Amino acid sequence: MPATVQTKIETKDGEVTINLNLTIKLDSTISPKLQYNKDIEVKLDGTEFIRPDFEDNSQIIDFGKQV
Amino acid sequence: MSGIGYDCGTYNLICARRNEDGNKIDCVKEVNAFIELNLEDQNRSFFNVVKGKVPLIERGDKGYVFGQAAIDMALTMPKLELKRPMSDGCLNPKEKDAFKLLQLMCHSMIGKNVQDKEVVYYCIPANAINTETNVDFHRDVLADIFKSYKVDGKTLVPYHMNEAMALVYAELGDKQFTGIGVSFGSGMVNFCYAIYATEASSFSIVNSGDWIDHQAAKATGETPVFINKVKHKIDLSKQPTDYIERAIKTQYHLMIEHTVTNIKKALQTTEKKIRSEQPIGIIIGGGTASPNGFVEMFKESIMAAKLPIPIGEIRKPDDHLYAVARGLLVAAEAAQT
Repeated sequence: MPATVQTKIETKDGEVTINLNLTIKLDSTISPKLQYNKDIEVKLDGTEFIRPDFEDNSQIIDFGKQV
Repeated sequence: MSGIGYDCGTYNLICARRNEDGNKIDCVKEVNAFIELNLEDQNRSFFNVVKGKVPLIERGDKGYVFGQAAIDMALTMPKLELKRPMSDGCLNPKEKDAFKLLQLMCHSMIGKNVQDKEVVYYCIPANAINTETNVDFHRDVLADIFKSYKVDGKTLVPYHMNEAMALVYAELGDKQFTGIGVSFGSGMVNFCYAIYATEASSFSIVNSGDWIDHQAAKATGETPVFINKVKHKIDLSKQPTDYIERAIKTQYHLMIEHTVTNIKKALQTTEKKIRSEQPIGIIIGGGTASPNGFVEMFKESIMAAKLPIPIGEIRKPDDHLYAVARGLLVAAEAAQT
């Protein structure tokens, strides 16, 4: 999976803050089911290539004409 | 013999299957479009009135009408927005909400009468040479749609095939599946040169039926929907009777010239692979090739182009609208024997 990581370390008042920016290039082969911890903010960019999840479907309607 | 051929086109959805006796291919067709109605306002009474008369479903506070009925309603009620899950020959990534409705349309056309793990062949375009297309996305999402079919515990096994190759499968069995298929769809023109059912060269161009509608609309000040209606009745072998027909015929000329120029380029750039002593037949398919006189216009352009291989018969099958689905069915049946 193509991914890049950027880190930014800041120190202030004796505390160290590490900002981690992980970018994953989404393409047509990657499902949108991204598992993540609720404390981590996830921003999707380039979402045009995210495939929708299809649940199993059993609904059939009267659609289509015999030609 | 089981198997399903499914042509998921920008304008039409066509499903081909063999009848129970195995001696005839049955095709089911519908328009790949729908409209969404907000049922919280006065649309509710309208929606209830047409229930049972047109294909529709209700989900939450929304109602959806599908296929030709959606087109008819959008034409008579301009406030309704016609939604099409595909544009330019591929699923439109901006219409993700539409994909679950496309799932319902595809599954409904297949119906309940399937064998478990029945093979379905669906078509995909080749990569376009004149614009960026999302063919991989299109291929994978359609595969997901067919894999999600689960009716009475039965499932489908999907495979894909180039749309123009499907024309070769449909029509060139007696030529050892060797020849050229050119499918003029609504969103794209697809080309494939096949040798013994193997792809030697393929491409697509995003300039086909919809392009003709838009260009002729621009030239005349009419709407693309109106142009499309006139286009369905035009006879390209006759002199145009008014400025609208003249604009449509001009755009047909341009589209065919552009297609033939690119066919020549494709054959020249892959010349090492493409050598033929025997004349190569060309099969034409797709709804944009429907008007009378289209084949003659295409033949003239092909002959003038002096292609690097000898060209044999150029023909359009009688069921040219359904020929892609029929070729996909041939592939599906072959996969199960």
